[in-house]
Amino acid sequence: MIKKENKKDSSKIFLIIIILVGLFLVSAAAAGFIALFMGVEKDFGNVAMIKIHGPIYVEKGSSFGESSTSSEDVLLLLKDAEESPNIQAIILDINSPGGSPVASKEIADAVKASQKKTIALIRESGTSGAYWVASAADTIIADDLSITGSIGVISSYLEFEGLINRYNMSYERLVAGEYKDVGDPFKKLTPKERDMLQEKLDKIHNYFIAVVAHNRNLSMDKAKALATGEIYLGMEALEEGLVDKIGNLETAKEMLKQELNLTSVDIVEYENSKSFMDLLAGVMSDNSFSVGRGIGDALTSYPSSGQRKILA
Amino acid sequence: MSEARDFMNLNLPKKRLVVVPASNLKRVLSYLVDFAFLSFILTPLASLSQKMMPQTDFSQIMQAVQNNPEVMSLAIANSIATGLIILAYFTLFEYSMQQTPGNLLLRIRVVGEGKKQPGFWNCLVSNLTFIPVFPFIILWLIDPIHMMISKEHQRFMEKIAKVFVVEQIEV
Repeated sequence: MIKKENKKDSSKIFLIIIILVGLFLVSAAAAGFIALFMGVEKDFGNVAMIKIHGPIYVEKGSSFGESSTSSEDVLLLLKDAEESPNIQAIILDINSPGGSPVASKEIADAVKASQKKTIALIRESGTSGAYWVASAADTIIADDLSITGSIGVISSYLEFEGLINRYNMSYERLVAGEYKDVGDPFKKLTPKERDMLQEKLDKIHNYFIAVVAHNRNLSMDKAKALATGEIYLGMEALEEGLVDKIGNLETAKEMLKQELNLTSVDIVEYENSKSFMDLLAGVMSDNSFSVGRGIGDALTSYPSSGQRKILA
Repeated sequence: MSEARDFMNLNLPKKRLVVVPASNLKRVLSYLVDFAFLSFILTPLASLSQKMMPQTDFSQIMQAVQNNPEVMSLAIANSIATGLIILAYFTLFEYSMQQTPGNLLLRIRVVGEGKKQPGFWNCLVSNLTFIPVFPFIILWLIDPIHMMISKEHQRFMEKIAKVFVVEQIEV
Protein backbone atom coordinates (compact mmCIF):
# COMPACT_ATOMS: atom_id res chain seq x y z
CA MET A 1 0.00 0.00 0.00
CA ILE A 2 2.83 2.36 0.94
CA LYS A 3 4.76 1.28 -2.15
CA LYS A 4 1.73 2.10 -4.33
CA GLU A 5 1.42 5.55 -2.73
CA ASN A 6 5.14 6.26 -3.28
CA LYS A 7 4.79 5.27 -6.93
CA LYS A 8 1.79 7.57 -7.25
CA ASP A 9 3.73 10.47 -5.68
CA SER A 10 6.76 10.04 -7.90
CA SER A 11 4.60 9.89 -11.04
CA LYS A 12 2.92 13.11 -9.88
CA ILE A 13 6.27 14.81 -9.44
CA PHE A 14 7.40 13.54 -12.83
CA LEU A 15 4.24 14.93 -14.45
CA ILE A 16 4.72 18.28 -12.72
CA ILE A 17 8.30 18.53 -14.00
CA ILE A 18 7.26 17.56 -17.53
CA ILE A 19 4.51 20.19 -17.61
CA LEU A 20 6.72 22.92 -16.11
CA VAL A 21 9.59 22.25 -18.53
CA GLY A 22 7.19 21.97 -21.46
CA LEU A 23 5.57 25.30 -20.66
CA PHE A 24 8.97 26.95 -20.24
CA LEU A 25 9.98 25.76 -23.71
CA VAL A 26 6.71 27.05 -25.14
CA SER A 27 7.33 30.41 -23.47
CA ALA A 28 10.85 30.59 -24.92
CA ALA A 29 9.56 29.65 -28.37
CA ALA A 30 6.80 32.28 -28.13
CA ALA A 31 9.33 34.95 -27.11
CA GLY A 32 11.58 33.99 -30.01
CA PHE A 33 8.68 34.02 -32.47
CA ILE A 34 7.43 37.40 -31.31
CA ALA A 35 10.93 38.92 -31.47
CA LEU A 36 11.68 37.41 -34.87
CA PHE A 37 8.50 37.97 -36.79
CA MET A 38 6.93 40.92 -35.13
CA GLY A 39 9.86 42.68 -33.58
CA VAL A 40 11.29 45.85 -34.94
CA GLU A 41 14.95 45.61 -33.99
CA LYS A 42 15.26 49.36 -33.86
CA ASP A 43 12.92 49.63 -30.91
CA PHE A 44 14.93 47.46 -28.62
CA GLY A 45 17.67 49.23 -26.77
CA ASN A 46 18.08 52.69 -25.39
CA VAL A 47 21.08 53.97 -27.36
CA ALA A 48 21.10 54.24 -31.15
CA MET A 49 24.31 53.63 -33.06
CA ILE A 50 24.59 55.10 -36.56
CA LYS A 51 27.57 54.19 -38.72
CA ILE A 52 29.40 56.75 -40.80
CA HIS A 53 31.83 54.62 -42.73
CA GLY A 54 33.60 55.41 -45.97
CA PRO A 55 33.43 58.64 -47.98
CA ILE A 56 30.45 60.88 -47.29
CA TYR A 57 28.28 61.86 -50.23
CA VAL A 58 24.79 63.19 -50.64
CA GLU A 59 23.51 60.16 -52.54
CA LYS A 60 24.15 56.50 -52.11
CA GLY A 61 26.81 55.10 -54.40
CA SER A 62 26.78 51.84 -56.36
CA SER A 63 26.52 48.70 -54.28
CA PHE A 64 29.64 47.39 -56.00
CA GLY A 65 31.71 50.50 -55.54
CA GLU A 66 33.56 51.62 -52.46
CA SER A 67 31.46 51.48 -49.31
CA SER A 68 30.24 55.03 -48.64
CA THR A 69 27.83 56.97 -46.48
CA SER A 70 24.91 58.83 -47.91
CA SER A 71 23.80 61.93 -46.03
CA GLU A 72 20.22 61.24 -47.19
CA ASP A 73 20.29 57.87 -45.41
CA VAL A 74 21.95 59.23 -42.27
CA LEU A 75 19.39 62.03 -41.97
CA LEU A 76 16.57 59.48 -42.05
CA LEU A 77 18.26 57.35 -39.40
CA LEU A 78 18.87 60.38 -37.21
CA LYS A 79 15.21 61.34 -37.56
CA ASP A 80 14.12 57.82 -36.55
CA ALA A 81 16.40 57.84 -33.52
CA GLU A 82 15.22 61.31 -32.55
CA GLU A 83 11.56 60.28 -32.72
CA SER A 84 11.96 56.97 -30.88
CA PRO A 85 10.88 57.39 -27.26
CA ASN A 86 13.09 54.46 -26.22
CA ILE A 87 16.29 56.02 -27.53
CA GLN A 88 18.02 58.27 -25.05
CA ALA A 89 21.33 58.88 -26.79
CA ILE A 90 22.95 58.55 -30.22
CA ILE A 91 26.45 57.25 -30.93
CA LEU A 92 27.98 58.06 -34.33
CA ASP A 93 30.40 55.30 -35.22
CA ILE A 94 32.83 57.18 -37.49
CA ASN A 95 35.42 55.60 -39.74
CA SER A 96 35.56 57.94 -42.72
CA PRO A 97 38.05 60.12 -44.63
CA GLY A 98 35.42 62.78 -45.25
CA GLY A 99 33.76 63.67 -48.52
CA SER A 100 31.38 66.23 -49.92
CA PRO A 101 31.15 69.46 -47.86
CA VAL A 102 27.41 69.64 -48.49
CA ALA A 103 26.80 66.07 -47.31
CA SER A 104 29.05 66.55 -44.27
CA LYS A 105 27.29 69.80 -43.38
CA GLU A 106 23.85 68.21 -43.76
CA ILE A 107 24.72 65.46 -41.30
CA ALA A 108 26.51 67.85 -38.92
CA ASP A 109 23.52 70.21 -38.84
CA ALA A 110 21.17 67.33 -38.04
CA VAL A 111 23.46 66.08 -35.27
CA LYS A 112 23.72 69.60 -33.83
CA ALA A 113 19.95 69.98 -33.86
CA SER A 114 19.40 66.71 -32.00
CA GLN A 115 17.74 67.04 -28.60
CA LYS A 116 19.36 63.83 -27.42
CA LYS A 117 22.87 63.28 -26.13
CA THR A 118 25.23 62.62 -29.07
CA ILE A 119 28.63 61.02 -28.97
CA ALA A 120 31.00 60.83 -31.96
CA LEU A 121 33.18 57.75 -31.67
CA ILE A 122 36.13 58.06 -34.06
CA ARG A 123 37.58 54.69 -34.90
CA GLU A 124 40.52 54.47 -37.36
CA SER A 125 39.77 57.66 -39.25
CA GLY A 126 37.60 60.71 -38.75
CA THR A 127 39.13 63.36 -40.95
CA SER A 128 38.00 66.31 -42.97
CA GLY A 129 34.22 66.12 -43.58
CA ALA A 130 33.95 63.26 -41.10
CA TYR A 131 35.55 65.49 -38.48
CA TRP A 132 33.05 68.20 -39.46
CA VAL A 133 30.30 65.73 -38.53
CA ALA A 134 32.05 64.65 -35.33
CA SER A 135 32.54 68.24 -34.18
CA ALA A 136 28.77 68.69 -34.10
CA ALA A 137 28.33 65.97 -31.45
CA ASP A 138 28.21 66.77 -27.73
CA THR A 139 31.28 64.62 -27.05
CA ILE A 140 34.04 63.24 -29.28
CA ILE A 141 35.84 60.08 -28.26
CA ALA A 142 38.82 58.82 -30.25
CA ASP A 143 41.50 56.22 -29.83
CA ASP A 144 45.08 57.36 -29.09
CA LEU A 145 46.00 56.36 -32.63
CA SER A 146 42.89 57.45 -34.47
CA ILE A 147 43.52 59.77 -37.40
CA THR A 148 41.53 62.96 -37.19
CA GLY A 149 41.68 66.62 -38.10
CA SER A 150 42.60 67.37 -41.74
CA ILE A 151 40.50 70.51 -41.51
CA GLY A 152 40.86 71.60 -45.10
CA VAL A 153 39.32 71.47 -48.54
CA ILE A 154 40.67 69.80 -51.66
CA SER A 155 39.68 69.90 -55.30
CA SER A 156 42.86 68.77 -57.04
CA TYR A 157 42.67 66.97 -60.35
CA LEU A 158 44.85 65.66 -63.15
CA GLU A 159 45.34 68.06 -66.04
CA PHE A 160 46.08 66.55 -69.45
CA GLU A 161 46.87 69.53 -71.70
CA GLY A 162 50.55 68.57 -72.00
CA LEU A 163 49.65 64.99 -72.84
CA ILE A 164 47.15 65.81 -75.59
CA ASN A 165 49.53 68.38 -77.11
CA ARG A 166 52.25 65.73 -77.19
CA TYR A 167 50.05 63.59 -79.40
CA ASN A 168 49.05 66.47 -81.67
CA MET A 169 45.60 66.72 -80.28
CA SER A 170 44.00 69.95 -79.30
CA TYR A 171 41.20 71.21 -77.14
CA GLU A 172 38.57 73.17 -78.99
CA ARG A 173 37.19 75.71 -76.54
CA LEU A 174 33.58 76.66 -77.26
CA VAL A 175 31.98 78.35 -74.32
CA ALA A 176 29.56 81.11 -73.58
CA GLY A 177 30.50 82.39 -70.16
CA GLU A 178 34.13 83.01 -69.25
CA TYR A 179 34.34 80.42 -66.50
CA LYS A 180 32.07 77.78 -68.00
CA ASP A 181 34.86 75.24 -68.57
CA VAL A 182 36.93 76.09 -65.49
CA GLY A 183 38.53 72.95 -64.11
CA ASP A 184 38.28 71.10 -67.40
CA PRO A 185 41.13 68.52 -67.28
CA PHE A 186 41.98 69.03 -70.96
CA LYS A 187 43.15 72.62 -70.57
CA LYS A 188 45.45 74.45 -68.21
CA LEU A 189 43.92 76.69 -65.60
CA THR A 190 44.44 80.37 -66.34
CA PRO A 191 45.67 82.50 -63.40
CA LYS A 192 42.27 84.20 -63.25
CA GLU A 193 40.49 80.83 -63.15
CA ARG A 194 42.90 79.54 -60.51
CA ASP A 195 42.25 82.62 -58.35
CA MET A 196 38.50 82.19 -58.74
CA LEU A 197 38.58 78.53 -57.75
CA GLN A 198 40.95 79.21 -54.91
CA GLU A 199 38.58 81.90 -53.61
CA LYS A 200 35.76 79.34 -53.52
CA LEU A 201 37.91 76.81 -51.71
CA ASP A 202 39.01 79.46 -49.21
CA LYS A 203 35.39 80.37 -48.51
CA ILE A 204 34.48 76.74 -47.85
CA HIS A 205 37.59 76.38 -45.73
CA ASN A 206 36.74 79.47 -43.65
CA TYR A 207 33.21 78.17 -43.19
CA PHE A 208 34.58 74.83 -42.03
CA ILE A 209 36.97 76.56 -39.60
CA ALA A 210 34.18 78.73 -38.18
CA VAL A 211 31.98 75.66 -37.62
CA VAL A 212 34.76 73.76 -35.85
CA ALA A 213 35.64 76.82 -33.73
CA HIS A 214 31.99 77.19 -32.71
CA ASN A 215 31.37 73.48 -32.06
CA ARG A 216 34.60 72.92 -30.15
CA ASN A 217 34.59 76.23 -28.32
CA LEU A 218 37.89 77.32 -29.80
CA SER A 219 38.97 80.83 -30.70
CA MET A 220 39.06 81.57 -34.43
CA ASP A 221 42.82 82.07 -34.26
CA LYS A 222 43.33 78.71 -32.59
CA ALA A 223 40.99 77.00 -35.04
CA LYS A 224 42.78 78.61 -38.00
CA ALA A 225 46.14 77.47 -36.65
CA LEU A 226 44.82 73.89 -36.46
CA ALA A 227 43.14 74.04 -39.87
CA THR A 228 46.20 73.62 -42.08
CA GLY A 229 44.88 70.32 -43.35
CA GLU A 230 47.24 68.54 -40.99
CA ILE A 231 46.12 65.20 -39.61
CA TYR A 232 46.29 64.64 -35.87
CA LEU A 233 46.54 61.42 -33.94
CA GLY A 234 43.90 60.99 -31.27
CA MET A 235 46.33 61.80 -28.49
CA GLU A 236 47.44 64.97 -30.30
CA ALA A 237 43.85 65.96 -31.02
CA LEU A 238 43.07 65.64 -27.29
CA GLU A 239 45.83 68.12 -26.47
CA GLU A 240 44.57 70.55 -29.08
CA GLY A 241 40.97 70.38 -27.94
CA LEU A 242 39.74 68.65 -31.08
CA VAL A 243 38.51 65.60 -29.17
CA ASP A 244 37.19 65.24 -25.61
CA LYS A 245 38.31 61.81 -24.49
CA ILE A 246 40.54 58.94 -25.44
CA GLY A 247 38.68 55.67 -25.44
CA ASN A 248 36.42 53.30 -27.27
CA LEU A 249 32.84 52.07 -27.26
CA GLU A 250 33.06 50.95 -23.64
CA THR A 251 34.16 54.46 -22.70
CA ALA A 252 31.12 55.87 -24.49
CA LYS A 253 28.83 53.42 -22.69
CA GLU A 254 30.25 54.29 -19.26
CA MET A 255 29.86 57.97 -20.00
CA LEU A 256 26.24 57.51 -20.99
CA LYS A 257 25.49 55.43 -17.89
CA GLN A 258 26.82 58.18 -15.67
CA GLU A 259 25.43 61.19 -17.50
CA LEU A 260 21.97 59.79 -18.20
CA ASN A 261 21.64 57.67 -15.05
CA LEU A 262 21.08 54.47 -17.01
CA THR A 263 21.22 51.07 -15.32
CA SER A 264 22.33 49.54 -18.61
CA VAL A 265 23.26 50.73 -22.08
CA ASP A 266 21.59 48.58 -24.74
CA ILE A 267 22.88 49.58 -28.14
CA VAL A 268 20.70 49.15 -31.18
CA GLU A 269 22.25 49.65 -34.60
CA TYR A 270 20.27 51.93 -36.85
CA GLU A 271 20.82 51.11 -40.49
CA ASN A 272 18.85 51.16 -43.68
CA SER A 273 17.51 47.89 -44.93
CA LYS A 274 19.84 46.33 -47.47
CA SER A 275 18.86 45.24 -50.93
CA PHE A 276 20.08 41.93 -52.33
CA MET A 277 22.78 43.77 -54.32
CA ASP A 278 23.96 45.50 -51.17
CA LEU A 279 24.30 42.18 -49.42
CA LEU A 280 26.24 40.72 -52.34
CA ALA A 281 28.49 43.77 -52.58
CA GLY A 282 29.10 43.71 -48.88
CA VAL A 283 30.79 40.37 -49.26
CA MET A 284 33.03 41.69 -52.02
CA SER A 285 33.91 45.24 -51.02
CA ASP A 286 36.89 46.42 -48.94
CA ASN A 287 36.92 49.21 -46.44
CA SER A 288 39.90 51.18 -47.61
CA PHE A 289 41.89 53.44 -45.39
CA SER A 290 42.38 56.98 -46.69
CA VAL A 291 44.12 59.71 -44.80
CA GLY A 292 42.98 63.26 -45.58
CA ARG A 293 42.51 62.34 -49.25
CA GLY A 294 39.05 63.72 -49.74
CA ILE A 295 39.51 62.92 -53.38
CA GLY A 296 37.33 59.84 -53.21
CA ASP A 297 36.60 58.57 -56.65
CA ALA A 298 38.36 61.40 -58.60
CA LEU A 299 40.44 58.81 -60.45
CA THR A 300 37.44 56.80 -61.55
CA SER A 301 35.16 59.55 -62.78
CA TYR A 302 35.85 62.85 -64.57
CA PRO A 303 33.49 65.65 -63.81
CA SER A 304 31.83 67.27 -66.79
CA SER A 305 32.96 70.75 -67.81
CA GLY A 306 32.33 73.38 -65.22
CA GLN A 307 31.61 70.90 -62.45
CA ARG A 308 34.73 70.60 -60.32
CA LYS A 309 34.52 68.22 -57.42
CA ILE A 310 35.24 69.93 -54.12
CA LEU A 311 35.75 67.72 -51.12
CA ALA A 312 36.23 68.38 -47.44
CA MET B 1 -2.63 -8.76 25.60
CA SER B 2 -6.20 -9.48 26.47
CA GLU B 3 -6.54 -5.93 27.78
CA ALA B 4 -5.51 -4.63 24.38
CA ARG B 5 -8.07 -6.86 22.72
CA ASP B 6 -10.70 -5.58 25.10
CA PHE B 7 -9.75 -1.97 24.26
CA MET B 8 -10.15 -2.67 20.55
CA ASN B 9 -13.67 -3.94 21.14
CA LEU B 10 -14.85 -0.68 22.72
CA ASN B 11 -16.31 0.61 19.38
CA LEU B 12 -14.99 4.09 19.77
CA PRO B 13 -16.17 6.45 17.00
CA LYS B 14 -13.66 6.49 14.07
CA LYS B 15 -12.18 9.70 12.69
CA ARG B 16 -13.89 10.76 9.49
CA LEU B 17 -12.46 12.60 6.51
CA VAL B 18 -14.84 15.18 5.18
CA VAL B 19 -14.51 17.08 1.92
CA VAL B 20 -15.28 20.76 2.33
CA PRO B 21 -14.69 23.86 0.18
CA ALA B 22 -11.08 24.97 0.53
CA SER B 23 -10.61 28.07 2.66
CA ASN B 24 -9.91 31.38 0.92
CA LEU B 25 -6.58 31.68 2.71
CA LYS B 26 -5.38 28.35 1.37
CA ARG B 27 -6.58 29.27 -2.11
CA VAL B 28 -4.73 32.60 -2.05
CA LEU B 29 -1.54 30.95 -0.78
CA SER B 30 -1.88 28.30 -3.46
CA TYR B 31 -2.12 30.99 -6.15
CA LEU B 32 0.99 32.68 -4.76
CA VAL B 33 2.94 29.44 -5.06
CA ASP B 34 1.63 28.87 -8.58
CA PHE B 35 2.58 32.38 -9.68
CA ALA B 36 6.07 31.83 -8.33
CA PHE B 37 6.36 28.83 -10.66
CA LEU B 38 4.82 30.87 -13.46
CA SER B 39 7.34 33.67 -13.01
CA PHE B 40 10.05 31.13 -13.78
CA ILE B 41 8.18 29.75 -16.81
CA LEU B 42 7.49 33.24 -18.19
CA THR B 43 11.10 34.48 -17.87
CA PRO B 44 11.71 34.52 -21.68
CA LEU B 45 8.60 36.62 -22.34
CA ALA B 46 9.35 38.89 -19.37
CA SER B 47 12.89 39.57 -20.61
CA LEU B 48 11.49 40.36 -24.06
CA SER B 49 9.18 42.91 -22.42
CA GLN B 50 12.10 44.46 -20.58
CA LYS B 51 14.03 44.86 -23.82
CA MET B 52 11.08 46.54 -25.53
CA MET B 53 10.41 49.10 -22.85
CA PRO B 54 12.55 52.05 -21.80
CA GLN B 55 14.12 51.55 -18.39
CA THR B 56 12.28 54.47 -16.82
CA ASP B 57 9.06 55.18 -14.96
CA PHE B 58 5.58 53.85 -15.77
CA SER B 59 4.34 57.02 -17.49
CA GLN B 60 7.25 56.96 -19.95
CA ILE B 61 6.63 53.27 -20.61
CA MET B 62 2.96 54.00 -21.37
CA GLN B 63 4.02 56.86 -23.64
CA ALA B 64 6.49 54.60 -25.48
CA VAL B 65 3.74 52.02 -26.03
CA GLN B 66 1.14 54.58 -27.16
CA ASN B 67 3.45 56.54 -29.48
CA ASN B 68 4.99 53.54 -31.12
CA PRO B 69 2.56 51.23 -32.97
CA GLU B 70 5.19 48.52 -33.43
CA VAL B 71 5.97 48.45 -29.72
CA MET B 72 2.23 48.42 -28.98
CA SER B 73 1.66 45.36 -31.18
CA LEU B 74 4.68 43.64 -29.60
CA ALA B 75 3.29 44.39 -26.15
CA ILE B 76 -0.13 42.99 -27.10
CA ALA B 77 1.39 39.82 -28.61
CA ASN B 78 3.50 39.40 -25.48
CA SER B 79 0.45 39.80 -23.18
CA ILE B 80 -1.62 37.30 -25.15
CA ALA B 81 1.21 34.74 -25.17
CA THR B 82 1.63 35.22 -21.41
CA GLY B 83 -2.10 34.79 -20.79
CA LEU B 84 -2.32 31.64 -22.90
CA ILE B 85 0.64 30.06 -21.10
CA ILE B 86 -0.94 30.83 -17.71
CA LEU B 87 -4.23 29.34 -18.96
CA ALA B 88 -2.36 26.23 -20.18
CA TYR B 89 -0.59 25.90 -16.81
CA PHE B 90 -3.74 25.80 -14.74
CA THR B 91 -5.77 23.77 -17.25
CA LEU B 92 -3.13 21.07 -17.77
CA PHE B 93 -2.45 20.59 -14.05
CA GLU B 94 -6.10 20.63 -13.01
CA TYR B 95 -7.14 18.24 -15.76
CA SER B 96 -4.27 15.75 -15.39
CA MET B 97 -3.75 15.78 -11.63
CA GLN B 98 -6.70 17.74 -10.23
CA GLN B 99 -4.02 19.79 -8.50
CA THR B 100 -1.58 22.51 -9.47
CA PRO B 101 1.80 22.56 -7.65
CA GLY B 102 0.36 25.22 -5.34
CA ASN B 103 -2.72 23.08 -4.63
CA LEU B 104 -0.46 20.11 -3.93
CA LEU B 105 1.50 22.05 -1.34
CA LEU B 106 -1.63 23.38 0.37
CA ARG B 107 -3.38 20.01 0.11
CA ILE B 108 -6.37 21.23 -1.83
CA ARG B 109 -7.75 19.84 -5.06
CA VAL B 110 -10.04 20.66 -7.92
CA VAL B 111 -13.15 18.55 -8.43
CA GLY B 112 -16.11 18.59 -10.80
CA GLU B 113 -19.78 18.05 -10.02
CA GLY B 114 -20.42 15.13 -7.67
CA LYS B 115 -16.82 15.36 -6.43
CA LYS B 116 -15.64 13.66 -9.63
CA GLN B 117 -12.65 14.55 -11.79
CA PRO B 118 -13.39 17.69 -13.81
CA GLY B 119 -13.46 17.47 -17.58
CA PHE B 120 -10.96 19.30 -19.85
CA TRP B 121 -13.42 21.98 -20.92
CA ASN B 122 -14.49 22.55 -17.33
CA CYS B 123 -10.86 23.21 -16.38
CA LEU B 124 -10.33 25.44 -19.42
CA VAL B 125 -13.44 27.55 -18.88
CA SER B 126 -12.78 27.96 -15.15
CA ASN B 127 -9.35 29.47 -15.95
CA LEU B 128 -10.34 31.86 -18.76
CA THR B 129 -9.90 34.66 -16.21
CA PHE B 130 -6.16 34.63 -16.90
CA ILE B 131 -6.44 35.81 -20.51
CA PRO B 132 -5.44 39.51 -20.50
CA VAL B 133 -7.84 40.72 -23.19
CA PHE B 134 -11.32 42.19 -23.07
CA PRO B 135 -13.82 40.87 -21.93
CA PHE B 136 -11.85 38.48 -19.69
CA ILE B 137 -10.14 41.40 -17.96
CA ILE B 138 -13.45 42.20 -16.27
CA LEU B 139 -13.22 38.84 -14.49
CA TRP B 140 -10.08 40.04 -12.68
CA LEU B 141 -12.47 41.99 -10.46
CA ILE B 142 -15.51 39.73 -10.47
CA ASP B 143 -13.72 36.44 -9.73
CA PRO B 144 -12.05 37.33 -6.43
CA ILE B 145 -15.14 39.17 -5.15
CA HIS B 146 -17.29 36.12 -5.93
CA MET B 147 -14.74 33.87 -4.20
CA MET B 148 -14.93 35.98 -1.03
CA ILE B 149 -18.72 36.06 -0.85
CA SER B 150 -19.74 32.59 -2.12
CA LYS B 151 -20.38 29.74 0.35
CA GLU B 152 -18.36 27.30 -1.73
CA HIS B 153 -15.47 29.81 -2.06
CA GLN B 154 -15.81 29.51 -5.80
CA ARG B 155 -14.56 32.05 -8.31
CA PHE B 156 -17.19 33.26 -10.75
CA MET B 157 -15.73 31.27 -13.65
CA GLU B 158 -15.51 28.15 -11.46
CA LYS B 159 -19.23 28.49 -10.84
CA ILE B 160 -19.86 28.77 -14.59
CA ALA B 161 -17.63 25.75 -15.26
CA LYS B 162 -19.08 23.76 -12.35
CA VAL B 163 -15.70 23.24 -10.74
CA PHE B 164 -14.96 23.28 -7.00
CA VAL B 165 -11.77 23.60 -5.03
CA VAL B 166 -11.97 21.41 -1.96
CA GLU B 167 -9.90 20.14 0.92
CA GLN B 168 -10.17 17.10 3.16
CA ILE B 169 -10.41 17.69 6.86
CA GLU B 170 -10.63 15.22 9.72
CA VAL B 171 -13.71 15.33 11.85
